[in-house]
Amino acid sequence: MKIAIDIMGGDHAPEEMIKGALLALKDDPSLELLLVGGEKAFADFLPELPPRAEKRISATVMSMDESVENLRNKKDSSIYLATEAVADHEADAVVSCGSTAAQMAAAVLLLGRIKGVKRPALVVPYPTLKGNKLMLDGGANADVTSANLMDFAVLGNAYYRMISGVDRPEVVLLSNGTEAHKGNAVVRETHQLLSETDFLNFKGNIEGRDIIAGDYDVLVTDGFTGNVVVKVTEGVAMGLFRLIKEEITATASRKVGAALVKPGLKNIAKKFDYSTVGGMPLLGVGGISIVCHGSSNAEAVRNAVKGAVSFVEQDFIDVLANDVARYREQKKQSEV
Amino acid sequence: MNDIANEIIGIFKETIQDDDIVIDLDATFKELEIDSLDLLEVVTAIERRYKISISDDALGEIKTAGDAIAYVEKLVNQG
Repeated sequence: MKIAIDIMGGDHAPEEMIKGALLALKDDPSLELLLVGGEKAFADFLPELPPRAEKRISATVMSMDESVENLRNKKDSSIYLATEAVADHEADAVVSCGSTAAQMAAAVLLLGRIKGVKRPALVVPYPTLKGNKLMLDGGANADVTSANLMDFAVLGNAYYRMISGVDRPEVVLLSNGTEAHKGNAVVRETHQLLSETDFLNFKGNIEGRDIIAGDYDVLVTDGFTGNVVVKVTEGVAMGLFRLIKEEITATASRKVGAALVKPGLKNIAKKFDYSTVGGMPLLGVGGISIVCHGSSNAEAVRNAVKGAVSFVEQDFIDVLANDVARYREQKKQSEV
Repeated sequence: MNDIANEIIGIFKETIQDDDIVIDLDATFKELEIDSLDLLEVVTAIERRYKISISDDALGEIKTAGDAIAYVEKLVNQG
């Protein structure tokens, strides 16, 4: 099995990407890697290739602030070449920590979409009081239709089933109230569609304040709202930790108590640690493309490669495609 | 219809994900409900299939499937 890695993407690229790739190689003696990056990156951080690794030289990098249309004119960029390797069947999956928008665009343009999926989604792990849950779309599609949201629900459902073994994951829809009539027109329409199908185990709407409780498996929303939710959560969590730290270290006596609660706080921080997750697959594209957090370190990259291997082994795309096809067939039957 | 035309129509159908749709060569992309992302998908598939590069300027002039076929035929025939 061969995994293509875009070593130029991410805040700590190329060094941490290369370190992570080498760790993954050590973990799995049957793994082969195609490392895609700039000449200088290889010269500085990997002058000699280890066994089972090959390199492909890219000339440019897609930066975070570039529009996806620019990808057309950057066919020599690391994310384009790494994804192209999957499209040309040279590699089984691609891993990148670079611009998510560029990675999504490269995946759609080069790998295509699963039949029946109009808009692929970015799935994100959401840390809740009951462990990590899935939220999608995490930011790929700002404007959606109810049909798009139904696709997200079907894709998220298939993915959660695969990673958890839960047969009927609980799917919920984010709204501004639990009642069916709450939400904007698209949310109301989606609620209706979700209620009408028994393909999914739809548990109704949830409000923003209930996301953290984690009484669901898959949370469906549009990419605009999803991205705002993720960013607000990060901000609130960071702010709270800062406030707690300030308060518990404000006086000498409190500092004694702070020492006692420190292990507990560290455990909470661990639950929010993205490096243990590594990466998440784009859902709905026609090949395996793993998106990592922009701040990924070597450990996160190592876990992302491990995840990519596991997705290939489990025929991830076929599993998703089968579910989408079954859902569409059932929908067609019910319309007759 | 020649091979290039048939292949390009096939690419459009695959992108729209409708094998039964009849592609009117004179219909605009808007009329065919092909949005900008769909069009980029089609163009990338055409570029990879014929190993050609379609410039942004040329892309701006391509408004219908017929325009796309004519443009690719011209490039391919030029060698």
